[in-house]
Amino acid sequence: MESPSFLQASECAILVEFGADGQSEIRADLVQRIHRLVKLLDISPLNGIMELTPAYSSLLVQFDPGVLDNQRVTDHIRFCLEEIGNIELPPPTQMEVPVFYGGEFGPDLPYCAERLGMTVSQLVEAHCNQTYTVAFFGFLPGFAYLFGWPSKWSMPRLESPRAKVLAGSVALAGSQCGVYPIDSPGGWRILGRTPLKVIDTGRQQFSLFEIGAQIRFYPSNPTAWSK
Amino acid sequence: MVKVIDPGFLTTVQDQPRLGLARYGLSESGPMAPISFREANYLAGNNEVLPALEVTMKPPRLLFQTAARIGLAGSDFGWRLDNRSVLPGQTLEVRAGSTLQGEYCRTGLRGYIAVGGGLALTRWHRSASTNVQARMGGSILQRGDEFAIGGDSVAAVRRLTERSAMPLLNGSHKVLRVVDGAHLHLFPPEAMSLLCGMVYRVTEQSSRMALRVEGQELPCPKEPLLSCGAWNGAIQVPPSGVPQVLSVDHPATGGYPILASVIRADFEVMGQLRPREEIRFGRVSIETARQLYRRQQDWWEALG
Repeated sequence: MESPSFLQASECAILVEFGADGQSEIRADLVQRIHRLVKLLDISPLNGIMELTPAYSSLLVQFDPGVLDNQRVTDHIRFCLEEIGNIELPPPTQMEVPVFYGGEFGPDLPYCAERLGMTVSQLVEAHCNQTYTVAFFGFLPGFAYLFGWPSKWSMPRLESPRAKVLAGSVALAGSQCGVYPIDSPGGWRILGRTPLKVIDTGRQQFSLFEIGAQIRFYPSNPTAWSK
Repeated sequence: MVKVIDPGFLTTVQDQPRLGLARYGLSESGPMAPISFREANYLAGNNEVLPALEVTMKPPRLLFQTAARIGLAGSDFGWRLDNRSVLPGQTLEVRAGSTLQGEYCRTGLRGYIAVGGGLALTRWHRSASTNVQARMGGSILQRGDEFAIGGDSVAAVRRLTERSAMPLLNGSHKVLRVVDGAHLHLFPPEAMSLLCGMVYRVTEQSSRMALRVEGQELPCPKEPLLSCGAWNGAIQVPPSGVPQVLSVDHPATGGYPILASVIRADFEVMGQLRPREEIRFGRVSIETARQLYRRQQDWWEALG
C-alpha cells in the first residue's frame, strides 16, 4: 500500500495523510489502516505524544515541542507503519442500537423513502440491514461518523439546517450515518431516534461508541423499549 | 469556601488541558491565556497547575467564606479586595469574609484567580477544565455556586518581576506569529503573503472555540477536503475566505483547509486579544517557533 504523506501542521503537530490530494471519497481500507496506526501508537507510545485525532483519511498527531520534534515523531510513526501488518487487532466491538423510526422521532423518513423509491418499511429494513463502522468522531463530542450506508443511496443534506436536532437522532448525509449526541443544530436527514444515551460523563467511557466499533440498528418503539 | 455572588460575563474553571479524548470528539479545553494561568497558580503558592478561575471581560464578585492565599494574574480588571484596589501580578492574603470584585478588563481580555491549594473539584479524565463549547467538564460559574478550597499553599509568598510573554508589536498592531499549515500546498501561492501582509480586526464573535477576525479575504482551495483532526492555533480558511484561528474549545475535526498555525509561544497574546483590536500575522520557521516555546519553558523552570 502507498505510504502516507507527513504534513507539517505546526511546531507541535503532524498530519499523517493517507489519501491523495483532492480525494473526497471515503475508503474503508484507509479507515482501517488509520485505526491500526492508532492502536500501534497506543501500545508503543512515544513520550511526548499528547493527542491522536483520527479522521477518514488522516491521523493528526499532537506532541509536546519541549520533548519531541517533527523528525522524531515522523520516525516513530514510520516505524509503527512498518509493523502495521504484523499486529493482530482485537475483533471490533459489536453493538446493537435500538431506533424509534419515523413519526416525531424521524421526520425525514418519508422524504428519504420517496427519494429512494422505497416504502417507509423498506427503508427501515435497508437501514437495519447494513453493518456500520465508526470511522471517527467530530462535529460534536461523541458524534460518530459511521460508514456502511451504500453510496447508491446517498442522501443530500437539508438545504437549510434545522435549528435543533434532538439528542439520539439517527440521520443520514451522503453515504454517512450519524447519531446526534446532544441537542444541536444539524442538516442531516433524520430517520429516527435512539433512546440510548450517546454521551454521558457519568460513565467510565463517556462516549457510547468507539472508533472501529461495528454497529447494527434495529427497530424499536417507546412501549417495547420501556418494558 | 468561595461563594459566587455574581458570576461576571463568563467565568469558568480551568486546569491543565484534558488530553486523550480527541478521538471521541472532545478537544482539550484549558486556559486561553496559558502564561497568565500559570502565573496565577505560581502566585497562589502552588507548585503545580491546580484548578483556577478564568475570568473573561467582566469579572465575578466572590465572597471568601474562609481565609485564602490567592494569585491574581492576566488582564487588569480594576480589582478590589473589600475596598482596597489591587493590581494583578501579585499574591493576596484574603481574610475570611472578604469580597473580591472588579469592573471591566482595562488591559487584555482574560485573567485568572488561583487559590493556594487549588479549587477542590473532581477532575474528569485528569482535568477540571471546562469545555465551554461542549458544556463538558469543569464548571461555568453561576450565582450562588460555592467552591471548596483544596488545601494550603505549599510555597512562601511570591512575586513576579518580569513576564515571558510580552506581545510583539508591528507599529501599534500586535503580531501573532504563524508557521506553515498542513494544507498550505493546496492554496494559491499568494494566500500566505496576503495573510501576513494585511491587518485583521478581531470581532465580537470570538470565543474559546475560535478567534474570529475581519479583513482581507483569502483565496482558498477549490476542491472540498475530507475532514481531518483540528488543533489549537490552526488557521482555517472557509469558503468565505475570511480566516479564523481555532482555540482551546475547537471542534475535534473540521473540513476547512488549514493555511497556517499560530505558534504556541503566542497563545497568551492571542488569548488576551480584545474585540476590535487590530492584529497582524507574521510567518516564522518551525525552528523559531520551537525556540520561542523553549524560551518560555526555560523562563518557567527558572522561576520554579
